Amino acid sequence: MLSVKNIYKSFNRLSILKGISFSQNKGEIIALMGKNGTGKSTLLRIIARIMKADSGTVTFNEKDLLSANSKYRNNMFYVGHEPGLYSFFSPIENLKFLLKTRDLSSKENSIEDKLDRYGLIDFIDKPIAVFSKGMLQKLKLVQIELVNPDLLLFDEPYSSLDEDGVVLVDQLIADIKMQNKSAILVLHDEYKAKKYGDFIFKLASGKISKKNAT
Amino acid sequence: MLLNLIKKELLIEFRSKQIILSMLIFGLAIILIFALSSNVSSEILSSYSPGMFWLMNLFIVVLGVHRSFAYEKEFDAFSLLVSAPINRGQIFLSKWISGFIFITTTQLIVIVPFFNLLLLDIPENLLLFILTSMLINLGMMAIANLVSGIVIRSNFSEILLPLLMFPLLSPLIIAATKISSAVINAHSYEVWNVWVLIVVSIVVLFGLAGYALFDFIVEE
Amino acid sequence: MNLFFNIRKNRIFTSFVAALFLINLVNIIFFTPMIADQHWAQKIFYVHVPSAWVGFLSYFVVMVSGFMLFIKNNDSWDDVGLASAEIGTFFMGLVLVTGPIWAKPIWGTFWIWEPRLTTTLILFLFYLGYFMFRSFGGNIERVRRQAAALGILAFINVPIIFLSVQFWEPEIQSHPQVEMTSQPEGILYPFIFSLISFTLLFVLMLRYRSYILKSRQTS
Repeated sequence: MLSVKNIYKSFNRLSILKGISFSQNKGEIIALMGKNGTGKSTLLRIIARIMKADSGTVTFNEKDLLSANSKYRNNMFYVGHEPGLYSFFSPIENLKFLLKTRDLSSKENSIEDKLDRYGLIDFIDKPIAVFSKGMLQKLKLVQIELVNPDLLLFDEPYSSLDEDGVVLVDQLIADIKMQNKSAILVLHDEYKAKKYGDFIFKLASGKISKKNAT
Repeated sequence: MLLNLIKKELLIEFRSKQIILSMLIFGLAIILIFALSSNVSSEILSSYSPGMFWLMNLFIVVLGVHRSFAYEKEFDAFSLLVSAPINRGQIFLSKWISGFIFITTTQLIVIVPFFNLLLLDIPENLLLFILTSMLINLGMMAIANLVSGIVIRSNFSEILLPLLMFPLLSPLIIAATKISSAVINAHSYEVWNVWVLIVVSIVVLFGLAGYALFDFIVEE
Repeated sequence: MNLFFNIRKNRIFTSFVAALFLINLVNIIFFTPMIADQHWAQKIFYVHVPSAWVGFLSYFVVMVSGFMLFIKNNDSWDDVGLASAEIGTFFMGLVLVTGPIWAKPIWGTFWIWEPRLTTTLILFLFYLGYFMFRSFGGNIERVRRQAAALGILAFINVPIIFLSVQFWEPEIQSHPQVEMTSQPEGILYPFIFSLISFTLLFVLMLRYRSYILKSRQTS
C-alpha cells in the first residue's frame, strides 16, 4: 500500500504542491489528472525519489520510499516523459542494464520476445538515438513488462503513440489490473481515466481531489 | 552493482569514443599552444614542464567530466539511475573510477607528444612518472566528479564546473607539480614523500565526501 | 530592516557592537604604538588579522550550516549558511585588500604566496564561484542542498590547502606579524580587543542577514 502524506513542493518559492496526501491500496490504479503545470510529473518524481519534496512522507508497504535505503525502491518503477535510457546503447543493452540495476535476470530471449511484441525487434541492435518518439514510448512499455513492478509510476503513457501503440498501452494496463498490481498514471484523457482507473485524482492549485472513476 | 555501473560507463565510452577522443585532441591542442607561446630556453621550459603538464590535465579533465555527465542528461538517463534501488554513492564511485581510467588512458597517449613537441627529454623514470600521475588522477577525478554531480542540473554547468573545481584542485595541483618535478629530476623519495601524503589525503577525503554527499546532491 | 531593529535585544546588541567597533577604530588609529620600521602600515594588522579570522570563522559556519541542513532538513540552516558565506567573502575580500597594502612597505612587494594569503585567495575565488552557482544553478530548493555540499567541500579542503602552500615554498613563511605570544602588551591587548570586536560584528551581521533572508522567504 502506498501512503503519501503532506507533500509540499516549491520551485523558486512558487508553491506547486501544498500538502498532498492520499493512499493507494494494492491493485488500485490511480488516474492522475490536471492542467499543465499543476505538479503531476513533480508528484510522481517525488514518489520515485528523483525530486526532493520540501516536506512530507511517502511510504510503500510501510517502507519509507524517501529514505536513503535504496532497497525500498525495489518494487517501484518510474517511467517519465523522457526514456530514461542511454542514447548510445541499443534497446537490448539498455534493457539488460536496467534489469541489472534491479537484480533481475536478463535472459536475452525474453527481452527479444518483448521487443518483438512491441514491434521493435528490427531495431534491436541499433542505438536508441535513432529512435522516433513513438518507438521510445514503446520501449518504455517493454521496460515496464520486464521489470513488472508492484507499483508503476507512468507519466503520460499514451504520449506520441499511434493507434497500435495505444492498443498496446491499453493491454499493458489491463495486464497490470489482472495481476493485481498498483499504478499511478498521468492521463489527459478522461475517457481512459474512467475506463482504467479505480480513482481519478485531480491536481489543481496545489491541492488534490479524489473521485471514483465509475 | 558497482561493477555493472563501471561497465556501463566504459561501454558507453567504447561506443561513443567521445570522452577520451575529445580529451586527447584538446590535450594536443594545448600542447601546441604551449609550444608556440613558450619562447624560452629548454632549461627553463624543462623546469616549467611539470606545471604545464598538470595545467593541460586540468583543462582536459573539465572536458571529460562534463561529457561523462552529459550522457546522463540526454534522454534523462540520470533519473533511471537515481530512482533505481541502488546506493547513490556507488554512482559516484563508478563515475570516479571510470573517469580515472579515461584520464589515465589519455595521459598515456599524450605523454610522449607532450615532451617531444616541447623539445624535452622523456623522463627516465617514466614508469614512476606514470604511477605517480595515476595517484594524482584519482584525486583529480574525485573532486571533478563530485563538483560535476553538483552542477550537472544547473544552467551554465560548463562554466560553473571549472569555476568551482579549480580552487578546490589547487592543493592537488601544487602537489602534482612537486611530485612530477621530483620524479623527472630523479630526487629521492624522502624529498617528495610529503606530497604523496597530501595527494593520498585528498583522495581519501574527497572520495569519502563524494560517496557520502552524492545521495544529497543528485535529487532535483 | 526596521523589523529587525524593532526587537529590543537586537537594538541593544547593535548599539553595543557599534560602540565597541568605534572604540576599536579610535584605539587602533590613536592609541596603538607605532612600530619603528613599519609605521602606519603596521596598524593594518589590527584590521587584517581579525578580518581573516572572521572570514575563516564564516566559512566554518557555512560548513556547519551545510551539515545541519542535511541532518535537520530545515531550510533556516541555508539562510544561516548563505548569510555566513556573504559575510565571509566580504571579509576575505578585505583581507586581500589590506594584505597587499601592509605587505608593500614590509616585503617590498604587494603579493607573496604565503600560506595564509594563498588560502584566503583560493577560498575567495571558490566562493565567487559559489555565488555564481547560487545565481545560475536553477531552482532555489535544489541549489540550497548543493550549495551546502559546496560549503562543506570548501572548508574540509582548508587544512590541505594550507599545508600544501606551506610545503610549497618553505622559504616564504615569514609573515610580518610576530607570534602572538611574544607581542608586547601594547600590541597584544589592542589586537585581542580588535579580534573580539570583529567577532561580535560578525555575529551581528550574521543575525541581521539571516533575518533578512528568512523574512524574504516568508513574505
